[in-house]
Amino acid sequence: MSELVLDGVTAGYGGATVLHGIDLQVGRGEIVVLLGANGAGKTTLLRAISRLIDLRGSARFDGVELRGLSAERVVRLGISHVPEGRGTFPDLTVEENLRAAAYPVRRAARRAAAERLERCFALFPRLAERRSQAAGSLSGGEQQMLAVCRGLVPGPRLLLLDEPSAGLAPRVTQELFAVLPQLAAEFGLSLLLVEQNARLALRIADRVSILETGSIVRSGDAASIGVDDDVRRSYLGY
Amino acid sequence: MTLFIQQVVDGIASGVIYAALALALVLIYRSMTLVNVAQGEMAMFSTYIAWQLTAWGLPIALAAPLVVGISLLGGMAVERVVIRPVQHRSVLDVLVVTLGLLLIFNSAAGAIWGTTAKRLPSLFPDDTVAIGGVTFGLETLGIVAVLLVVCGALAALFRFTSIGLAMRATTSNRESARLCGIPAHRMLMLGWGLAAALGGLAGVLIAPRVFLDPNMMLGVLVYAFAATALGGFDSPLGAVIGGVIVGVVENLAGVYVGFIGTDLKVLVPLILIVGVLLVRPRGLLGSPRVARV
Repeated sequence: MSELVLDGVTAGYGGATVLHGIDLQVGRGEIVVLLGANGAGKTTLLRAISRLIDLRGSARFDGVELRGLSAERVVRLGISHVPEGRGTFPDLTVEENLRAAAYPVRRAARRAAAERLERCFALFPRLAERRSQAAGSLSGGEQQMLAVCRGLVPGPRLLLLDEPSAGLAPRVTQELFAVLPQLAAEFGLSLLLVEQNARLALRIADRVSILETGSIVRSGDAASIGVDDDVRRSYLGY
Repeated sequence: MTLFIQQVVDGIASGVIYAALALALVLIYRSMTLVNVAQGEMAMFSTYIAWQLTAWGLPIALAAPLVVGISLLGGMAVERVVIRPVQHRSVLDVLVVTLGLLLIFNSAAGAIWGTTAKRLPSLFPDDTVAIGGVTFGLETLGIVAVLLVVCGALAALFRFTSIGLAMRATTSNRESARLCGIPAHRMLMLGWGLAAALGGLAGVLIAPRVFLDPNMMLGVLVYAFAATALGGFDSPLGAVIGGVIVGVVENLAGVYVGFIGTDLKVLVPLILIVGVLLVRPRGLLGSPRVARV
């Protein structure tokens, strides 16, 4: 059963339409990877889902229509969006970043959020060591870990991850991709992942969709897409 | 020596009032990178409301907190009605809107209450107390005490409460705040409310020392600008320290530098502004402007 169902989603900025009728589904516990060249509309799609920008068409999460909701409301429904460029609060300490992420959590669920916060610190001990440092002083890799944790603390069921490997050293990227499926399983998450590093992304993906100039041109199992010659030439480079 | 200490303490009393208005400027600057030039006029308008309440027979001790509350709501209303519709425009556009607000509040106060100066009763008894051979006005000490408590309360709000954390998060990265489920617009609105409340308090405290007229806060705003330039436009602590320094320097210069006297006192903050901008553009505690490229 699908949690996120996009049906003919169109979105853009100002007068310019970037996405033309996107159909996409993310099932419960699934890891779906969105591939595509720069400017294909991957980030726009995530921003439309999290309601940072307007969308036309229909986007339902657990049967709830997202179209008329505010970004704040979408978070409360259980969708966390970790934007490209990390989206942490540079002036706040690591711990304050994570506590700010717990803002929408209802009183009754505060304990669970605090436990998730501690779980994040256990998963990323380097963040725990730096919990009272300003987030802006962290390295790129640490900030990305923090951004992912920030997304996890409110207890989402769907995590939208935009280019988590951008600007990271290859080793750190490897680490991150090793931990993502583990996080998804442990926190009971579905994942919609936008990634340039197709090879790594395919390794953890259940399904893959390919976006080209605002439309989805291919969708399929990670296994079958990964062996497709066209896809390999265009996105994997071998 | 006694005179010197008295002058310093007197300067601190004006200084904390400048600091309150400077803090109001910093609150809004930090969250929107916007200098609200109407901050002083909003404070003046609040002070008139306090005067009106006392004219209706309310004691000032009751009118003052009431006005702080009214200013809080009024500031939020200004953000919601006037600023929010234009806030996605360029900084210059919004600045022009705040200039318009300045004129509106200034003329509205003149139209409603007239331009003849009025006298607002002081919150504190007109009495003195001697501490270690130096005589202080109770008002002076009262002003310092009230604003110290208010600054402490604000610091606690930002540091220890979840709403304070949400406001700081909104200031730090508005889009990420929304992605955290923080209603960023409401936080900005609250910021405007707090700034207006601080301004209102500053007005009520300073009005008995000057006279209440529609242009009362123009001078104070200049001092507050000097304080923020001195302390750093994005540093709340810097604004408070800057305010106190401006107050003290202004007072001492008026007394000890012969040719300045009371008439040229207003030059002091201007000289401070220019001096600081020349030597250390980001102010004493301001953060350096860095951009990742």
